[in-house]
Parts: sequence; structure tokens; C-alpha cells
Amino acid sequence: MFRSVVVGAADSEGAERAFRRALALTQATGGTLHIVAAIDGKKEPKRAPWLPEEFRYTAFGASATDWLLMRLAKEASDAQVDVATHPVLDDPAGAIARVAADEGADLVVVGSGSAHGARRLAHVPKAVMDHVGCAVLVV
Amino acid sequence: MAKQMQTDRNGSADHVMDETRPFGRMLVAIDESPAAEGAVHLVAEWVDGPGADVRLLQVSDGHRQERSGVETELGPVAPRQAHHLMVSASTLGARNRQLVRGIADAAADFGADVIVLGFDRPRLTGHRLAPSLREQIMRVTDLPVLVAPSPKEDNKRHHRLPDLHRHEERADSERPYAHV
Repeated sequence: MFRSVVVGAADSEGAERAFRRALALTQATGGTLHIVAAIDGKKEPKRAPWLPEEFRYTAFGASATDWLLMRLAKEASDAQVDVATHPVLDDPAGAIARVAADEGADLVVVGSGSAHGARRLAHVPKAVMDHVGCAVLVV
Repeated sequence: MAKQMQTDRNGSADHVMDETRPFGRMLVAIDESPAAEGAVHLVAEWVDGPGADVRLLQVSDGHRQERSGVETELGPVAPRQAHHLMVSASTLGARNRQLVRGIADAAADFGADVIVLGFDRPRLTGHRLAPSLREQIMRVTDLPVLVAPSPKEDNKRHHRLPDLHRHEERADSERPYAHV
């Protein structure tokens, strides 16, 4: 049923929770897990502007984003899950929405993003829910 | 169909989350909007695949006196056993609280490990500027919340649930949920 599951990768508790859930769901349904990392073009220096966008920030050595994607992809591979990684030059919600559209996602998994005790929706899950046309699981 | 589904089975409060079957008990809150169609379809697929126990919660407005049946693809038992949450408070804020609390309580009673939302938010809140019901539900429960797509947003799905569409052609002002 979930042939294409999209999850965002970030260095946060909510994103880690979302990844675990997305991995379990993909494992249960036999689809492909698409891991999306948003690259902030303002913060990361443009080291190779002549390269395509997906290689522009990582061509000369692995960045923290690369390491994160590699770690999560390995974990998914170890769990016998088909996995694809997508470094995208966009804000997190835009990156997730773009990959969800491109890959025809059935499900997007996002963390609620709360950091204040009671669970409140942060900007990213709100924006994702508003902009993707598929099911959204908030964990 | 629905070979592994058992609707409305209470008890089992000691249900243990299985990582390989993450949704073991699903509470599905639906109204009569097209969004419910997406939720029912999604749940039906899940039940048909990995399998889960499902409880349907039919949400409706207090202004409607009759309780309509919910025709679903979850099998012949499900419509008769759909629980019904009547939202009847007179003010918008109170009605939202009642709705949110009702869904959260139903999930807790059922021992759900996920809440699936399949309802038309503006219709239920009566106003597009009302606080997000999905966010309010997430505030009162720690459970994962799955927001189902409406069929018009999801072109890959074409399942039809005729009873869920009968208010579709009414103008907003004629809808029972439009004025609170």
C-alpha cells in the first residue's frame, strides 16, 4: 500500500522519531523509503556553482548532511528496505513536498517538532500537511 | 477482504506495539465529507495488507438529528458498529473541545496506536479561521496522527463511497456544518 514513503532527515529528536516510524512502515509494506535532507543555500557555501544542484554543496567532501543521509540510508539498507536519498536545496517543508510530488509519495512522515513539553505542531509539519496531496503521518 | 480485521474489539489494553506492524489498532475518525473516503480507503488497504484492528468513529454535527450509516469498504460489519460522536456544543470553541476530547478519549478507550483523521476540517469547525483541529488533537494525545488525503487530492485513488458524498453539491450556506 505505501509504495513510496517520504521522510525528512534532520538532526532533531522529532526527525529521528519520524525516521524510525517511516522505516518500520516501509519495512511492513515493502515500498521504497525516500529520505530527504534540506540544504540551506544561505548557510552552506556554494563551493561548486557549475555543478547540478544536488552535487553543488557536497562535491568537495562530505558535509554533515551527507553523513546524516549516509547513516540513515545504511540503517534502512540493513533493515532490507529499498532506500533513496535526496539532498534538496530548499527549506525543509519545501524539500519534503517537492520530493513527495516527484516520487508520487503515498505517505509522508514528519515529527511533530515540539520542544516545549506539550506536543505542538512546528512550522515544518504544518507546512507539509498544507502542501502535500498524500497522507501525512505526524509522530 | 479485511481478512485480518476485527472491528470494535475492546479490551487488549496491553496491546504491544510491533515495529514490523506499526499500526495494530487504528481509531478512524470520519465525517460524511469526501475526506472520509481517503481515510477509509487508506485503512482498508492497511487492513488488507499488514492487518489491524479498526474502530470507526463517525463524527457529526449536533444540528443533525438523524444518524446516518457509514458505508465503508471495511466489510459489512463495520457500518453497523461505527461509533458515533455527536458534537453538539453551541459555541465554536466548545464544540472543538468536545470533538477533540471525544476523539482522544475514544482512542484511549480502544487502546489505539494511531489516530486516522478523515474529516473536512472547515466543515466541522464551521469557519476556516478556526484553530486547526488536527493540531488540537495532537496536543491532547501522544499517539501518531495520520491525516488522510481527500480523494480529489489523491488522483491515484478512485474508490467511491456514495453515502459520504450526499452533501457535496450543496452550497456552503446550506451545509449543516456551515453555521454554528
